Amino acid sequence: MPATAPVLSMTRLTLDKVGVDFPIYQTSARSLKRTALRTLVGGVIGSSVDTGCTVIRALHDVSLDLRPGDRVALIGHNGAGKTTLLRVLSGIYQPTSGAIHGAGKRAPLFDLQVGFDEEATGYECIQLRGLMLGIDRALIERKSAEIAAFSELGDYLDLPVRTYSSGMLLRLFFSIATSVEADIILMDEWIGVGDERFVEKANKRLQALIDRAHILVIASHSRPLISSLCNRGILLDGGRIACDGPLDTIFSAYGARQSA
Amino acid sequence: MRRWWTLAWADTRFRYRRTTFGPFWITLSMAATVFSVGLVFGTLFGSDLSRYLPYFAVGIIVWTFMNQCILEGSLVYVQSAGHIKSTPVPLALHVYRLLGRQLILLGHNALLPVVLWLIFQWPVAAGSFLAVLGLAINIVALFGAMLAFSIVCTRYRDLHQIISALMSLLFLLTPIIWLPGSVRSPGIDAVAYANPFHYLVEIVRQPLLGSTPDLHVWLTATAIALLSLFAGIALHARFRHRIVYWL
Repeated sequence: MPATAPVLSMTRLTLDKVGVDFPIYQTSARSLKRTALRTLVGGVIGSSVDTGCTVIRALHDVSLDLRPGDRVALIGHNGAGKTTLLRVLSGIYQPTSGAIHGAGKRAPLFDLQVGFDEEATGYECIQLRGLMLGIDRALIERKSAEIAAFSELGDYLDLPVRTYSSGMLLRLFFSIATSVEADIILMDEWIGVGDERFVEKANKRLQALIDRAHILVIASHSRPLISSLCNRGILLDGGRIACDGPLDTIFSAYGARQSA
Repeated sequence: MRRWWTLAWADTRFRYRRTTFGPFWITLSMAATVFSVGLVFGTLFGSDLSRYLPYFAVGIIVWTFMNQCILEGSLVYVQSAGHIKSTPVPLALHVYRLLGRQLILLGHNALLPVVLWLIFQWPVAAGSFLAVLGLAINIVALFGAMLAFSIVCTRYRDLHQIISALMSLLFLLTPIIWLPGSVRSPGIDAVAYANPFHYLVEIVRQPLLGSTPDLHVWLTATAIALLSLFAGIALHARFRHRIVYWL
């Protein structure tokens, strides 16, 4: 049975009829020429000109209430809206309709390796990443030693990250990302890092971080992982919530959909 | 908000990390431009070099700041797309960070006029400190422009090309290489006085060179800055939540 966090907590995350529409601008529609011409021709002809703007409805009418103790698995096939929903929950996407309310510190643990300078040393990456995540400088200094020790990168931390192997890079960014305490943890698949020995160590650290958090939302295709981690499932289909409830219900609903 | 400044410094350090002179390459390459272009055009115009070089140096340094702010500002979200899609930080942080970077560049370039002053020792008065006020107005104007251009250029990707073509045209139409009134064509002067960049340069350049801009120059520059700031803030407030969907 997955561990549950203390129930006495203010942490909440609520979505109220959230929709996300993605405009996909073809190069022709994004260009000013197209808009200018449309304005010029105007009237009848203008209305017949294809705007070239396809809208993808990534999420539609999604209502959710996440409470302390919730360990939620997002399930659904590719393109069902799992990643979009995670981005909405983390505050990266503002819903184009509906509303999101939340209390508690959120930590998105995906796209860990984004936006670092190749010339920065490992230590500088720790500081800058910490700064981007809004951690104050004194705290970063204190955490820096712990992150360095956990990553086991040793003297490499004084070298520019362009000299790192991709495994080392992932280890560094994993160590940074998991050093942040958060009430709500958002993940897109489990993060596996490093060689056999390090993976085990990393799994423990991630598990401990999740155990301390009040809410977990993880998108995953791995049934064993979900079963060991979660107590609630949300099945997404075509950007809508098809089913929300206990895991076994969700699994059978997903199975039925796949065989249908 | 201190973090944009730290990030801006880090960006600058990383860019020049593997060079001997580090960020002073900024100063050195600007010095090369000032002396080569300055000597050629100063001689061509038959001007007194002790007056022309400082005039051109201050002008080109202020112009470079404005030009870079606008050109890089119009791409700032496109280039920070990775960050924007993965880390929930206020969008304006990316603009502040870029502005910080440009201010650091400006600071390095500002060493040049100091060197020129040590050589030519033109008279400076108490009024020279008005250059600080002029620079503040200039920065406000550019910050607004960056906020505005960053948004429209993310939505319409052609605009950046149009703007960069326009900026090289405007460089020639702003009195930087030439002096206002020196070109014997009322048309050219009229263009210069309709050019907002002209005012934004004058409020920094004139005080530094020991004269004081007319009141109408100050007022026009201030109006430009406020207009630009309001336009930038209005666009930002209206569209900042949409930007991530345009990347």
